[in-house]
Parts: sequence; structure tokens; C-alpha cells
Amino acid sequence: MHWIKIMKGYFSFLLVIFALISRFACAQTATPIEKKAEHGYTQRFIDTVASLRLQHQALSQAQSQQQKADEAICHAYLAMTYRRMLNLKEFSKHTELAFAIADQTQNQRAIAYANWSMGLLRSYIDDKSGALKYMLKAYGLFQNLQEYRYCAKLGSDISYLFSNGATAKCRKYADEALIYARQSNDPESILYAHLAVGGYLIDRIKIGRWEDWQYTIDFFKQTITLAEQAGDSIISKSNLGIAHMNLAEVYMNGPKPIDEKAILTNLEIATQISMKYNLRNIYRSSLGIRGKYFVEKGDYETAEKLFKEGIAFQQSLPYKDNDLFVAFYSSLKELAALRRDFKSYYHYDKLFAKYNQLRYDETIQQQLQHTDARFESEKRTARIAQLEKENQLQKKNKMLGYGISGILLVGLVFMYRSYYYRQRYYQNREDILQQQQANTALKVQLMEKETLETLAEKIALERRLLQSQMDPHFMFNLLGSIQSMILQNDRLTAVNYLSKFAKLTRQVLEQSRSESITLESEISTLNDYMELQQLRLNHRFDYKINGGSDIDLTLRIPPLLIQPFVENAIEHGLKPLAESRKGILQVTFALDIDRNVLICIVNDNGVGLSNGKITHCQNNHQSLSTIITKERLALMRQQNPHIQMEIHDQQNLSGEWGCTVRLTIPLI
Amino acid sequence: MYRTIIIEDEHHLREALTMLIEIIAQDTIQIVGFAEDTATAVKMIDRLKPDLVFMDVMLKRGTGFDVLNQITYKSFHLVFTTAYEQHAIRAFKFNAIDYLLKPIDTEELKLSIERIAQRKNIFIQHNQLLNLKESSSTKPERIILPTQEAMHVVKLDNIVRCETSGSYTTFVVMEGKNIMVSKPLKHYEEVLCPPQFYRVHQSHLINMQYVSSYSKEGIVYMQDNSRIPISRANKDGFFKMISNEQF
Repeated sequence: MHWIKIMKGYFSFLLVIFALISRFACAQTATPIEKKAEHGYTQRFIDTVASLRLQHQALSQAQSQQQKADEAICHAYLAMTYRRMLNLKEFSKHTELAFAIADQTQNQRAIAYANWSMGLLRSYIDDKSGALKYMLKAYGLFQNLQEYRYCAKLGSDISYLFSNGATAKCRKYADEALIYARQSNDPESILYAHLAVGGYLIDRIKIGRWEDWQYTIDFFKQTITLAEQAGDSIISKSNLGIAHMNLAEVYMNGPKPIDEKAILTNLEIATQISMKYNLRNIYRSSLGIRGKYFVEKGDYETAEKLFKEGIAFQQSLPYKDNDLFVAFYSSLKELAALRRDFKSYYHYDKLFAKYNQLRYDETIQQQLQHTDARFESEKRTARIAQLEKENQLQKKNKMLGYGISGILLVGLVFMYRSYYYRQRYYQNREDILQQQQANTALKVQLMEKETLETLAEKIALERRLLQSQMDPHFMFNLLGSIQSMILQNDRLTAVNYLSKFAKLTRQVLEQSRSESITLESEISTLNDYMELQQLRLNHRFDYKINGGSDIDLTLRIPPLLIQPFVENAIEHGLKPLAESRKGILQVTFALDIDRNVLICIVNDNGVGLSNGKITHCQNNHQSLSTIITKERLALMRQQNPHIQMEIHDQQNLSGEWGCTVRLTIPLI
Repeated sequence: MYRTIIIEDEHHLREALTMLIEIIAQDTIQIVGFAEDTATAVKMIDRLKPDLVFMDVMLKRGTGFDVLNQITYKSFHLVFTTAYEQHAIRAFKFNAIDYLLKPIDTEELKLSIERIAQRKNIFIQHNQLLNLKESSSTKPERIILPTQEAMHVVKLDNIVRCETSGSYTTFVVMEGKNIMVSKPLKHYEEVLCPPQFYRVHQSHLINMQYVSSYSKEGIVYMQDNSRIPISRANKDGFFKMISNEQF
């Protein structure tokens, strides 16, 4: 089967290069310059020098007339011509020029050509997916332009690209190509499309679809008949040879007994055609296939003769095809083995090894070359896109720069990732250790926590205490009262109260910062406070502090505990009292040495708790300072269980209601 | 001459106010009555039908708000007096009700009386009273902006921003005309407060809901297409607020 593989390689290569006869096609869009280039292109089998000359003429004509679209098309034709001449350098150069120029024009026709040429280039350098991308684009564009000849060719080429694997798509494009070819009525395209369809038919037989065999035979026969009818209008004679060889192959793969005569006849015709039109590869291939046939048949001598003829022919050519040598010598080797002629076997094996090595080197070189070409081509295509984006500014190496920095970036990302994961692993391990340590520490902390919490609570409370003790309402109202005295020219009283107010303010500020104060200063503060309240409320109440003389005044108590209750008594008990009744406020101190507490009773004859509550909600300060005092007492109770506060209404001896607060204050 | 009632439960404060009025507004204000508690105050207003009432917030057995809820006669100018009640002050600001802080400043009193003289309508607006009680306890949704021609009730959510020029403040309101009020921005800063509002600049107070974008250099772009500068001192605070906001 080796022969067929080789043949197929050339076959698909040749099929792509095709003459274009444009007489009948879309005259309205093909310009004279394009036609000239196309005419030059058709000459490529006959006279490459003339073909190139004509095309270059067309190109310079397009350049001088500044026909950008035509220029691109000329480049595309030149590219395809150089492809046929296996000149990769020129091929890729013209393809890229075509692509760049077409891109500038935005001319659909030019873009179609450029994409076609680019697709062929990609296919040539083994970039199948790239080839498909460009060819499909060109295919679509030519469909829009109703250029069915080109559609047929592109369809066939696309079908070949799909031939390894995607059978459904391979078939779809080949069938489409055939329809387009028939529509174009161009014998060249019809033959081309027929071969594409034949290609997938052969593939089907190879995988064992015998029911298609007869149909395939008929199809190839029809192909050959059509091609023969077309006669000289077919420029690419090699396709006719290929048709014959394919038919021979189908017979060879056919059901037994094999129609030997048909095989030989077809191969003979192929050889004749190849000799007539100087189609070297067809000649070689037909020799090879024939040789194989005779090997199968057991006619070793004829086979050997044919192989040797092939080698001789190849050596007569100006260029060496190591692939072919390898194939021929391998066949000869097998032949020698079959004949048990080990001397010959050794001889052929040496040659086989030599050419195989050469071929291998060549393949490597070719691969490198292709890789290089592919890289260059991709780079340039990218640059074209880049140029277009940046209004064709000259940023030549930007993409390369991006590429390098991209690689660096990816490298960095990987480095970082591995670093990160390793770091995390260590971190995790450390975390577990820390967790264990923390657990031990936590137990200790829990024990400390309770004391800490109490402390924090205390600190917060002190702060709030400072904020709440001096009732702003009281302060401003008092200032208002002093203002009133000044206005009434009662200067002495005004000055007296002003200094009392200053003294009280100072005391409260100092005491709120202290841990404890003496009973003496507490009594002094209460005294000043009540006196000022008296003034404010126009002496509507009297006050009295009892018990102070019996008790050691240097005893220390927490500051500002009593004042809020005095304030409550005045604001809610005495202030709402009717004018007719004189209010009385008493603060009484008593000592309980056994329990280490001071007892303080704040007593008034005001409206009482139940009545006083009416206004309760309207004074936020009042409730706030009471709440804070309650909290403070609760905190103190943790150290001394006797600390408490009782509030209740009571009736005194003369039948008046009032409120009594009994506080038990710790001695510090 | 404004026939005036003073409602004040503290003797000295009543005296002080009376004397101050005698000194600075003898020709315009005639005091016709005093009241110390809510019940007396209600009766007195309804009976004497005054032109002006000075009303203390905290009264014997009740508050000034209680008085307002109970009276039937309402065609008078109203000035609240207060020593400290911060919630009440908030409410006054929201409802464009005049108030004086105790001890009373003579300049403030003068200005207050001048404002009354300029005012065309002497009625306390219904909506002012309606809002008053509510806004002294909960967070109000509306603010009343007084201008020469009308009392504008504006939803807080509709205020895009405030801009000041001297003693005037212009409110830019969504889907409405700008409202210019003869109060400095400082007056409103305390009631239009974070997190909804933020004073980004000496002359600008913005509603954070209407910020459409902002630059790190310190410019806020509002949805009314205005560019508001953020002063250096407020930058940190502003960025903190905007990053805390949940969109």
C-alpha cells in the first residue's frame, strides 16, 4: 500500500494546483488584470518561465494602476504558482503580500483569493487547522461571489483536509464541490471534484463497504469518460492519470477474482499519459503500483524489472526523491526475501538504509523548515491584524514581545503556583501546630477572661458615667436662671450662683475620674447640687442632709452614685408638685460597719413614683443615668452581696405621698 | 404688635425671656399670658388666640408637643424654647419650626422675631405638626424646607445634594426644582447625617445614594451630572463610607 500513500501525497498536492479557465465565469467581476494573471497561471504546466513572466506583468500593471485588489489577486496566483514549483520561500512571501494587501482593500474577491492562498500555504506546512480556517473563509466568500469553479476546487481541497477522520465532513464538502463543479460547467473543475468524491469512495471501500465497489468503479469510469470528452480543455493532465491509477487501485482492492486486465490496462494508460505529458510522479507511481501487482502475482522478475526501471528513472531526474528510493528499495528488499536471494537482500538493504537515513534527515529538515515557515506566517498574519487595529502604525515586534512576555508570564504563574502550594502546605502544617498550642493557651485565657471582662465592663461604665452625670438640661436651665438674675439686676445672687455652678461642675469632673471619693466631698457636691436646683425651681422645695455629723467623713465611697436619685426626686417628684405644697427632700446617711456598707436614703414628698412616671419617657438623660447607676451597683454586688437599691412609694406621718430610695453603697 | 404667650415652667427662665423681649422687641411684642403646665397652656391659647407663642419643650406634667396636639386655635407663630432636648431639636430642623436655645441669646431672639415679621402666613402648617411628633422619636422620611413663598415637604430620599453660599443653602431635589433656604448648611448637617448623607466639603453635602462615580483625586460625580469636590479633610471619611456601602 506504500505506493498508494506516496501517490496520494502527490495526488492531493497536484489536485490543489489547477488551471483556471475563466472564459465563462463571472465576467462582471474579473478584471482584465486578473484574467491576465489567471492566463499566466494556466501556463504553469507547460512553460513555467512564461507563466511567471505573464503573472509578473499583470502584477506590475496592477501596481502601476494602483489596483490594490488586483495586486492582491496577482500575488495569490504567484503564490499558487510557486507552490507548484515547490518554492516555499516565494510561496509564503506572495501569500502574505496577498493577504496584507487584500486586508487593506476590503475587496471581497481579493480577500477570497488571499484566504485561499493562505489556506494552501497552511496545508503545505502541515498546519491543518489553520488551512481549514482560511479555506473555509475563502469557500464562503467565493460562494457569495458565485465563483463556482473556485468553490468546486476549494470544496475538494477542504474535503481532502477532512479525509483523515471526519468522514461525514469529507463527504459533505466533496459532494458540494461536485454540485458547484457541475454548475460551473468547467471540465477541469468537474474532474477535480470527481477525484475528491472518488477519494472518499476509495476510503469507504478500504474500510470494507463492499456494496459501494461497483458504484465506485462506475463513477471512475464516468470520470474518465468525461475527462476524455473534454480533451484539451483540461490542462492538468496529471489528474487524468490519477483517475486511471485510482481506478486500477479500486480494481486491485476489488472482490476476487481480480480483474487483472482492467488493472493493467488502466496502469498502462496512466504510464502513457505520464510519458506523453512528462508527468514524472505519475510515471513513477504507475511503475510502483505495477511492480507491486506483479509481486502479488508471483512474477518476481517482471516486478524487479519495474522497480529497477523506477529507480533508474528517478536517478535520471535532476532532483533526488529519497522517499521514492526508500519505497523502491524496500520493495526490492521484500522481493529478494521472497526469492530467498539473501545476497541481493543484503545489497538492497544497505541502499534502503542509506536512503532511509537521507529521507529521515530530509524529513527533519523539512519539518524544521515548515515549522519555521509556519511561525513566520503566523507572526505576519498576527501583525497584519495588529496593523489594522492600530491604524497601521509601525509596531513590528509587538506581537513577538507579547509572545515572549506571555511565555514569561505563564512561567511566572507556574512558578508562583508551585511556590504558593508549597507555601500553603507548610502553612497548613504550621497552622495545625499552632492550633494545638492555641488550645492549651485558650484554657489559660478562659480563666483570665472572666476577670478581664469584669474590668472592661467597669471601664466602659466609667466612661458612660462621665458622659451622663452632668445633665445638660439642668446645666443650661441653670445658666438661664443666672441670666434671668443678671437681667433683673440681682447681681450678688447671680455671682453667688455662678460660682456655685462652677464649683459643682469642677467637682463632678474630678469625681468622675476618681475611683473613690470621701463622704465629705460627696455631701458637699450634693449640697451644691440641691442648692442650685432650689434656685432653679424658685425655692419650691427645701432640703436637708442628715447623719453626716455622726459618721466619719473620711470614709471613701464610689463617686456620683447618689446624685442621679436626688435629680430624679427633684425632676419627677418635686417639680410637678402643685404650687400650694412645699416640697421636702431629705438625704440620710447611716453606717453599717458589720457589712462594710454605707446606707443612703433619698426621700421626697413629691408626686410619687406612679405619678412621676408620666414624664419619665420624655427625659432620656434621666433614664440613662438611672440605668447606669443600676449597672454600677450590679457590678459592685459581685464583690459585696449586700449592695442593693430599693425604690418605693410611701406615705409619711402627715399623710403625704412621696418616694423613697434606699441605697446600700460599698465602702472602699 | 404680636400678642404673645410664653409657656415655660421655670420661673427664672420665664422672667429672663420676658425681660429680653422687653429690651429688644418692646414695640413689636406684647406679652398677654404665661403658662406653666400643658392644661393651662391649651386653655390659654384657645381663649386668648395669640399671634405668637414661645413654647418650652419640657413642661410640668407634659410637653410642648402635647400642647400642640390639644389646641384648636392654630393661627399663630410658634417658637420653641429648649435647654438641651436633642431629639426635639432634630424634629424642629426637619419641620422648619423656629426654636431658641436656653439661655437665650439676644441676637438669636432678634433674628427669630425678624423672621416672623417677614413671614406671610401665620398658620402653623398642618404637615409641620403632623411630622413633629413622629420625627422627634423615629427617623423621619421627610423634611420641610421653608422658603419665602411656601413650605416644601421633601422626601429625604429625593434630595440629591445641598450646596451652600454664605447663609443660604440650595437643595438639589430629584425630579423637582432646586429649593433655596435661608439657613446655613451647618443647620442641616446635623439632621442630614451619615450614612445616607455626607458632608464632603465645606459647601457641599451629598446624598450617598446619588453618587454615580468618584475619582481618587477627590471628585464625586452625582447623578444630576454635577461634579462635587471632596475636601482633603473629608476624603478618608468619604472613601470609608463609600466602601462600606452595600450596593
